[in-house]
Amino acid sequence: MKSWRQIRHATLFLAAFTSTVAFVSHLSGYPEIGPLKEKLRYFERFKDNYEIVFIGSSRVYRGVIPTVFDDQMSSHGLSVKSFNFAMAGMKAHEANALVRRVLAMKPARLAWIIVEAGDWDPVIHKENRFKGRGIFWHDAPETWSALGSTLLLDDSLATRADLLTTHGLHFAARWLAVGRGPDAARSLFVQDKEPATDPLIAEWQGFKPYTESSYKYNPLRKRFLQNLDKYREAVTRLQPTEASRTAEATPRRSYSRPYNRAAVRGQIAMVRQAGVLPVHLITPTPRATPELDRLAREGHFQAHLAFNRPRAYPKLFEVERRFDHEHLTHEGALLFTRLLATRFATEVVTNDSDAVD
Amino acid sequence: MLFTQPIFFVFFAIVLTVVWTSRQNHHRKAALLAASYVFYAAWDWRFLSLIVASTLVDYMAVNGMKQCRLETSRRRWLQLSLVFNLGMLGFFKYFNFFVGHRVLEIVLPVGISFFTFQTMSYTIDVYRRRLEPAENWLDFALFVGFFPQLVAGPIVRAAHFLPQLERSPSFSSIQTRRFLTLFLVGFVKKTCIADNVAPYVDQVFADPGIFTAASVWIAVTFYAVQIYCDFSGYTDMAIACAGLLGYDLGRNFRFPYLASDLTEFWRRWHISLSAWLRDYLYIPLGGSRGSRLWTYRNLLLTMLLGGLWHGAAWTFVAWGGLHGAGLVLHKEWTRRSAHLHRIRGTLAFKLLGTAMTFYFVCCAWIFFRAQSFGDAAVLLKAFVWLDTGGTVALDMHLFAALLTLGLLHWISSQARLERFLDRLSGGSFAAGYGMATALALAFVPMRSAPFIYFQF
Repeated sequence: MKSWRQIRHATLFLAAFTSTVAFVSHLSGYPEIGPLKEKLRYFERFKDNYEIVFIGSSRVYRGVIPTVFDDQMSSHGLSVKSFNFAMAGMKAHEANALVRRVLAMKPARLAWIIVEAGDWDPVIHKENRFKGRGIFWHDAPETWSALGSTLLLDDSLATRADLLTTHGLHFAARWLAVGRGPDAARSLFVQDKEPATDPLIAEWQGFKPYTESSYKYNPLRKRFLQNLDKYREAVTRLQPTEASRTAEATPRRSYSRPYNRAAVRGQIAMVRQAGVLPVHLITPTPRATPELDRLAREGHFQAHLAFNRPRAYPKLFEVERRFDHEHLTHEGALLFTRLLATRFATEVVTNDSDAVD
Repeated sequence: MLFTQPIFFVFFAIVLTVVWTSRQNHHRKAALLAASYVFYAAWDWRFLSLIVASTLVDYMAVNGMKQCRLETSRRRWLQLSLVFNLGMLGFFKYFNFFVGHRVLEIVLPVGISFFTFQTMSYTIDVYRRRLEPAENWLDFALFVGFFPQLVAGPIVRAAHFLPQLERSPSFSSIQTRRFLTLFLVGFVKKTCIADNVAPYVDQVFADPGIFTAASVWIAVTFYAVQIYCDFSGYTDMAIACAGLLGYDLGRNFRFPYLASDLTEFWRRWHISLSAWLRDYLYIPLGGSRGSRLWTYRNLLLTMLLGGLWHGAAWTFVAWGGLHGAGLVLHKEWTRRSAHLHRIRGTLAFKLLGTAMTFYFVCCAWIFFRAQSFGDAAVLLKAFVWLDTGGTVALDMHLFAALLTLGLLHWISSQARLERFLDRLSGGSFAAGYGMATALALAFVPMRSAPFIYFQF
């Protein structure tokens, strides 16, 4: 009798708990993570206008201008509309969760997702733990993937246990709607039915140009200008390997790991299943990417566009077109976008008649 | 390991299971001691040796006292205990302060101020023959290291705790509903209130000169809210954990911001420390047995040392001094206004007293929280004279949040809420608790700050 009562109480507790969590989650919507919420809101309204989306880190965010890309594509006789979903600091797992979210919106005309190729490293550094952004990409498939990658790391057992716990807690925090109360309360009590869209998103289609003050005060730019020799050295080091990229020097947690291959395969399968073609992009970074090159040679990518080639694209690596070591100035972004569109039109679209149809 | 972290819930679930499945009291206590040491070692295993050493020295000192007939020998054992505990506290907490500059990079062991005061009270009480020594080492070690109160109190007295260890509690006698509610209340105070107001406080106290007077008002009163919710939230959770394990830790807070004078405030705020300072410092100094001036001197000295107990900085001493001066003023006012006893009993007078006490306490908190006397002066000027050259303003809607929190403080002081909870059926309580837990989690900020009192 007593144990039945206890079971009844436990059931009532769980029912009330889960229904409250579900209610809070339902009300709170997408969290405020940089410009992403605005971008998602905007894209959701106009999703059926787009054929192409770009997803990746700040290298894509500050480097690919959708309006320029579309113009260049039309010069190749292809009429497309694209949107830049990239955001500073976005790594592979987060990008993949975003890919999943974009596909879930079922944009009617979406034909290609151009995603920055990166490392599927499951490590979350201590300073980045339990931030809204890290929590939100921990949906079930992505957490599962990150847990699998963690198990395959060759770090100590303690490090792996810590990472497994961290991913598990991020997942739990997401599904228990931890910290989402203020957003839920806002949606309940503040009339915000049709929020104004950031005019910059409509104007630049998700791309964000650097401001005047960024050119003057950005610490990364300052450091870059003070250490131009290092940059030039990095570019010079990159050139000899360009013609014959080998996979000899494979750094830790690289694509050559089984989990990385599995993750890329999973991403491609997911995108393909939605009737969209995934294209992996390496931006004009002055770093060699032997693992990605090897993966490309082995045919793991569906389509692959690499721009970290100073010999092939010398202008992209000229100091005047660099904002800093990793990023391009506006002029550099214009050039990169045109080059990207040209390669995309000639190498990808022509080989993908299905997608063009 | 914080009470608000998921790892603690796993740890506590294991401890509860082990404790309530142990058939013999001795095994329960051994399991609790092991768990307490694991809990402390999770902070920094190196400092576990300090607790063990403190336990051994005090146990040895008390046993030494027990075997001595001569008062002088007994006193020597007491001196050994005091020198060891105060020496340890002095070295880890005050070495650089008294030297005047940073000579050594000393890491402050968490909870050292709490467990040293707790063990000292034990040896002093035994020395004064007010307490029978612990039956065995296990009981004494558990009294010192009992994990719910180990790192931030309450400072439990041996006379209160040791007799509880002799009894074998039964699970059916535990007021589960009361302690589960208390834990959730503590959790909400700490994570949903203290941690959510902390960013506003940090912002203004980091650079007070640039903010408007209204913003300083918000920040200072928010700090009063933060420190209360942080510390009393921790205490609520500690009392609830101990209660679920079958032990009572006593009360540490009684709605202090509702006090209508400063003397009453100290009967409601950090009660275990106030009582400790009264019994082991104020009374031995002479208490109120001498002349009026002598009493005031004792009061001032006690509060100055109470301030220093909180941290090795002159701002803490100033905070203690302010409270000491306030208590002296209040005593003097009470003496001189004895003929006004009719007015003093009115509601209006009490409300005025509550407002004035809260205002004074807030002024004193400025010294407690400020990084330097310079910052404190800027904040005080803005808080008292509304004078500031700053232009940056916090959202004025935060005043509404303050009023809501004040109202909540008053509502929770009414016993009606407890009575309402008691009247609920088991099923309604379970459903309500489920809903309240989910809502509490929804208002936890993504990153929780450590408890403020852990640094003391």
